[in-house]
Amino acid sequence: MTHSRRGQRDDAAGAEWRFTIGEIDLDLRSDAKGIVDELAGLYPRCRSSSSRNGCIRLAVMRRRRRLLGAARYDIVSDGVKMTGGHREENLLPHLEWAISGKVIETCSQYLQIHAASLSFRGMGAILAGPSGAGKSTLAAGLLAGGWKYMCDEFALVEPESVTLRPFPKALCVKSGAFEIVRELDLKLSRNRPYVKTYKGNVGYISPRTVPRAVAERPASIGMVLFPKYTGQRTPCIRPLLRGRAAFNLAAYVLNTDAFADRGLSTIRRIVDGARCFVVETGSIGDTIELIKSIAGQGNSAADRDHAQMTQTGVA
Amino acid sequence: MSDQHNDLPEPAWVATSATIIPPSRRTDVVSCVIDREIVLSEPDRGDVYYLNETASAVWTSCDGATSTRDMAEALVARFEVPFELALDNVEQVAAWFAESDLLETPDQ
Repeated sequence: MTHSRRGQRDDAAGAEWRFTIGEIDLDLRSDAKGIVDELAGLYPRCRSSSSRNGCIRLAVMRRRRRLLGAARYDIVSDGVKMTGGHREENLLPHLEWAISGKVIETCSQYLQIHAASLSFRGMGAILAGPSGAGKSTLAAGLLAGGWKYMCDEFALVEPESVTLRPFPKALCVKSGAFEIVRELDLKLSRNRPYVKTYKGNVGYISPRTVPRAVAERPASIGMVLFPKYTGQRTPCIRPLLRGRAAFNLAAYVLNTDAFADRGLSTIRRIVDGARCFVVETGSIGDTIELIKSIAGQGNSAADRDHAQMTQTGVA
Repeated sequence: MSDQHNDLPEPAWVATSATIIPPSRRTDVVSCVIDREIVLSEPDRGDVYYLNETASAVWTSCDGATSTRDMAEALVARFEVPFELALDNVEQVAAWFAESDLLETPDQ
């Protein structure tokens, strides 16, 4: 977008676009054409006027620059400013943050867990952990390794069926993982980093750039992983008792209030049907191979692991 | 409770000036049993607790009627440990429940 004079808008100002991200549609009104183009590189446009599951509405509004101040953009939802930034070229992380926030607000019917989610041969996997545990990097590695991508920020669990719902937002990787992204032969969107204050520089990967990498349907949860970055080269995977896994998982639930009693019973059903592990990550290639080998063992191996742990009292 | 352990003092945390009160778990704390272990969710603070098998047995017995000595007896029968060790464990766990505000207070 160009502004020939202070405060003047171009032809695209205030126009509206609709994008689709999994089951969610995003209606975006934007004064900044550039951000719309960037989003179009990450998500497909949607023409439908009816939403399948949910629709979130956001607006990118250009504030008139003050006499000596720089132009500023606010990201607004229902008339309330959620976030904003000064530079149009660095608005994308702010908009992505706002989208995630609105999805969390909108999808209250799902148990929301701070975790990456993927599926492998129809089996859903949750990778839960705090920021910095390497969820997005591991999700990128698994995606590059043939897994179906659902989300890198949260797992949306449908409580009745205990299935994962896909919300394939762009993967957000920190600058420290750019080298790994190259190693995985993945490409950063627009081949550039964005400045994001609290996470440092970040880059985005559109899962759509990898053929058949986006999960299109829900998946039953068969595996729960707790990645842990140790800085070691050789990865290690340890089975976890279900009670401990439930406890760990409960710590990452985002909408505890909305679920109350049902949250814990849903978590119980998740761990009842899943194999649970702590993954101490090493080199990305070795870690991915290790996870794939465990995933390939199936549920009979899970029962065997669990029986063995119960007998030996491993906690 | 068997008479042979009557010489052991009741832990102070369950004693009021005149009465020994068996611990009683808060009814609004959500619990979930998974493979003989229990995960608790405290609704006011949103805290989650993980209890191992021993602590789970104590939690289950915190019904307001079972004394800590009776709980220790149950642990002796279940885990084949000396009574003194079992009672010490029960007292520690129950004190921790109380400190974590997971039990009803005597005036509730």
